[in-house]
Amino acid sequence: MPVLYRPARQAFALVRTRLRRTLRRPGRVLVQLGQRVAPKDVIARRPRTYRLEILSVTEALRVPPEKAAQYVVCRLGQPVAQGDVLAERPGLFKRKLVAPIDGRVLHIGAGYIVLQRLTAQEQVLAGLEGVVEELLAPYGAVVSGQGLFVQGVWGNGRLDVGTAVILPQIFPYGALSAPLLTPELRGSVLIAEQVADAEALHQAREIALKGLVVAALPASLLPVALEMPYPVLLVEGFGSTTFSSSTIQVLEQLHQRDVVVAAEPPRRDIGLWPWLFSMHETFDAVQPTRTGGALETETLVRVVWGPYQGRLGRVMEIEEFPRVLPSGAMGYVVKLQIDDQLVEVPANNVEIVD
Amino acid sequence: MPSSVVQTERYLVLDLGHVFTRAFLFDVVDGRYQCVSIGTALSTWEAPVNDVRESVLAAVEALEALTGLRLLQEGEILTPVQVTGEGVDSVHLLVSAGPPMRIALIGILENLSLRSALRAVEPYPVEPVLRFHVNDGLSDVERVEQLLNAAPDVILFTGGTDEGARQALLGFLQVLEMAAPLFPQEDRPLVLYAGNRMVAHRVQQHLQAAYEVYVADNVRPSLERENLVGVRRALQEIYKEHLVRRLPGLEGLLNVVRTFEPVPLAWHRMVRLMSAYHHLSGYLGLHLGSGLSMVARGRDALQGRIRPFARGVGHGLSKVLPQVDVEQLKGWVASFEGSEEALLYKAVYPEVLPETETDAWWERGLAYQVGKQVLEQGLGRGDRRWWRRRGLPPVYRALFLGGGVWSTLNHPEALLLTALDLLQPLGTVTLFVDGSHLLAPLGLLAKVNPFVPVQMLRSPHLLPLATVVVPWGSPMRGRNPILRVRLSWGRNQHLSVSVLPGELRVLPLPPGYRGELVVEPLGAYDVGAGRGRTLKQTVLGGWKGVVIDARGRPVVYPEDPESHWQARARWLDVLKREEV
Repeated sequence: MPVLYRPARQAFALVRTRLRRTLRRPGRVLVQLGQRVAPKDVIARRPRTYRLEILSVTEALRVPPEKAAQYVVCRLGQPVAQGDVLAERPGLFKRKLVAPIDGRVLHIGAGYIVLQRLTAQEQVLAGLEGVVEELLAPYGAVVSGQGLFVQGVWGNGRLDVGTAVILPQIFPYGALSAPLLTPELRGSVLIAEQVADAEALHQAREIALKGLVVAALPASLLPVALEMPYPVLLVEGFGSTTFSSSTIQVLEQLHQRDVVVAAEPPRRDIGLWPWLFSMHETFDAVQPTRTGGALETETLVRVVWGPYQGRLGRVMEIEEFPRVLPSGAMGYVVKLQIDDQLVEVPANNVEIVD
Repeated sequence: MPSSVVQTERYLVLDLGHVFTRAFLFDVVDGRYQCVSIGTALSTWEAPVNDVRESVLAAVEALEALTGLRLLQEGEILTPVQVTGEGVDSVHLLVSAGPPMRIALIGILENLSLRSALRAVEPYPVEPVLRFHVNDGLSDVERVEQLLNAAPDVILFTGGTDEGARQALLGFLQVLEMAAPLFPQEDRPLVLYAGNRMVAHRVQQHLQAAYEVYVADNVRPSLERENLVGVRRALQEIYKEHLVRRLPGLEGLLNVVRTFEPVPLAWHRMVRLMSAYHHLSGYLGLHLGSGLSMVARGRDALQGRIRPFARGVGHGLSKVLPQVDVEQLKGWVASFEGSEEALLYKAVYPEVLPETETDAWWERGLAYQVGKQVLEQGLGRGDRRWWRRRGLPPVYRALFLGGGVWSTLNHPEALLLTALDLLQPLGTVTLFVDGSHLLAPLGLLAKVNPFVPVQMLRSPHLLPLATVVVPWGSPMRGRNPILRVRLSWGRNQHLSVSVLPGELRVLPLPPGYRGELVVEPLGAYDVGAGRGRTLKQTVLGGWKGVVIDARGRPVVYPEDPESHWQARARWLDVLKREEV
């Protein structure tokens, strides 16, 4: 039987999850091994852009370059405010070099001090309440936590925490409309099957919603979702897809619990999907999450493309060799039991649900 | 290194792609090299495995199962061939998976050294993120800032002829020195110097404390001469190192590999070889992969260029998504609701395969749009001007298509129609489709043992899809024939047809056959011999024979999706009918 690895995307009622929280390029890791972290704690950060101010100690103090270092009074990496003294030559003809901007000392040497202006930072947040289990310097760390964990498909790039609220009119079936978004929902994370229109998304901003978790959004609403200041997490996909029964079972338990909505774009390279997490440390026999695995018979999978898209099925057989599909493409085929039907689906088009 | 077929070797070529990892076994069968079989596995460079070796192992295991030949021993590739006949003599590696290499280019003059630097990096999957030259109007501080913000993996530092400018080079040297301590230690790019060789030693001395420095021959040793050999050799090594850092498991795999090459170079080598073998001067190649696409073009086998782009119809889709015209995409399928949503799913799950014929048409529609974007960027300046003026790509005699999206081999008519609409060829053109993904492996083996690709040139996998004749130059109007076509082949087999404006006709000429084609324009049309002139040419047979496309250029489909689909379905039906 061929070994076919597929990613996993799942919803867990009780689980111990390990998340790789890393920058795409090297930066500074700000946490330590074993440290307890809150969802919005910064794990690692790097400047989004560099703006530099190069200052000549030699010219300002009128000293030769080789002597400049002895007059420098700031340290590498030190944050400085405008007007802070960076270098000073004492004596009768005392001279000073002061910081012309707020920034950080990036480099000292060869008669120069380089200041980096404080600009926007690219940072990665913990994303759950837990413990730093492994450092991945200089990129970030692995954070682990226990609780309810639901992985989604797409997020608008925001992260926040709040109290989950389930309104029976819109969960598990129903569309969120603007009139339902009353001021009492301020600060909460709302879970709904669908969103009726763009007005509902705008109204959610007006009442300062802390997050919105839905089964799916039509493509036309995605640009609006991207503009919203609160996280929007799509659990199942795009269009009019509904929640699967297993996801409903987990989400039902979240009502009035504190949750983190990490609506980050998926990162397939490290197997990270956007997620919803609620800490729950008082249970035993925790099952760990995984980013995927090899398909085997009896594996529960979700079809992500083609005629059976969105359906859950169990792998009954994995074909030994790739073959030509009705589309003409060549690929490995798995036979799935979906309800009472036995159907053939390319292995590429499924993900593991467990 | 073997250079004679007498010294036969069994080769295993591994191709690490974004979606699939393939293992090709080449051996001598019946006195000739052949591709014995191809093992395929799902690639494992991404999560959950994050190790390329897993998919290599799976692909080789699949090859073992297909051939019954033992190629692995205790999880390692068995080399060389054992007395029992098991194993392979050598392993060769092609890579297209992984992110492109970010490169900053420095040259003194934009039109001289910087242009050579750009040409030097052209065949590699790189993303030029920055260009500096003396007339860019930037201060040193601005250059340092831009360098830090661009976060390149490599800085290609060129400039000056060997006896020429030094001062400007030293200015850039100062910029690099200033930037060195400001880069985060782990994110410091390496520097490849390929400028004035009189300054090479000084550059190395000044920078080696801060950067990893490579020195190659000057790309512009004199004003008249360009030398890209040395710098490309160094780039290949640097690119390999770049991949080792980004593709876990690759370092271990390289220990068993004899030759390594990025896919674009190998694919282009084989395209050139095939166009030379078939005497088809002037070729255009378009390879559309999941995360890497490329455009190859050249006048002959000696003068050609290839440009890869880190975009495609899967992993590279997010980069082209904003330019995709969803309304036009709807015209490619009979009833595909939620085309916009399908695009989003495809961006999230780039590895999915089309399952039904409808899915395949949707994917071809996507390939059409991505292909057009890639083609426009990959063509040269003159060709681009031609295209913009006429709405058509320039004239080529051979067209090559490659990449996963073209491997739907059981639908040759669909492939042909998509290719005709995308490439809109003019004159008489031979169309090849690399449906078995063999061109890159053969291109790589051409470096190792040229007998392998040469002996496989007549393999069914490398035969044309069709020879296409497209009259152009005057509008296709009226009800009278515009062409008289006579095709003869084999023993006294011949066929004569008159072609009306707007028609698409298929004449049979089986693969492996050569036919004599005479096309007489009945008006001021050009079919490849000049306006109004009769074309007499030996043409290659193909899976779809000889196709006369008199639909006019450019081919325009209705804007309304339903009418668009109906027009396409009509043409598809026509392509399925062969003249008898």
